[in-house]
Amino acid sequence: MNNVILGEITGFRVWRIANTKAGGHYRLCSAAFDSIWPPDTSLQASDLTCFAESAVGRGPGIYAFKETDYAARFNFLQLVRHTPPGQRRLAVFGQVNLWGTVYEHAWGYRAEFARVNKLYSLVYKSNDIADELLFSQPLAHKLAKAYNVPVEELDINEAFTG
Amino acid sequence: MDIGKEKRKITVIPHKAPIHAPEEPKRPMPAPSAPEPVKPEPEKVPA
Repeated sequence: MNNVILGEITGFRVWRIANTKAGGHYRLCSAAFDSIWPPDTSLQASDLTCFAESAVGRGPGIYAFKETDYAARFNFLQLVRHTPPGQRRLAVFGQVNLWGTVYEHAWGYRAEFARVNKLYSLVYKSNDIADELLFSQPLAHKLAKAYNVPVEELDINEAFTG
Repeated sequence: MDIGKEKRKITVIPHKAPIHAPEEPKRPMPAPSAPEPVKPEPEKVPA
């Protein structure tokens, strides 16, 4: 069944923070791939290397979770998995708008187009997962300015402990 | 990334999609104006 929705679908995800060589700007980067999200335009799925996932039946597209707690559980773990041992990886949590052809899954979406909608300055307790990632509040504000999106404070303790 | 079992396919059309302005209707060509009637010169009446 193909449903048509007017508007956008909202999802949540975590990015690595990349420090680009050209100009030393901070940019959002996919958690599992080296795909930089452009600050001034939308991202199209065909630009991503995630098509490799279609080989294992997950399909291409830009991924986002329906709820913050799912993003916290799965996306954070994925990011930690791609972090070299003994290192802390800079990360930022945010909200995206999805549109175009979108596949709805049980816990999230994979979409044809996406754009950053909002970034979060996280408040969280120290724990095993969070200790390996560094959610810098000043960097969240810098990135929000670079991507011209609002930044909000988000207490995500319950997502980790729930 | 594991987002669970696929449930459905959706086509999402954003509100802010560039809407192409409808093509301006072609105006009918104005009918060629009829040439002004040539006023006959008043006949010269001999004095």
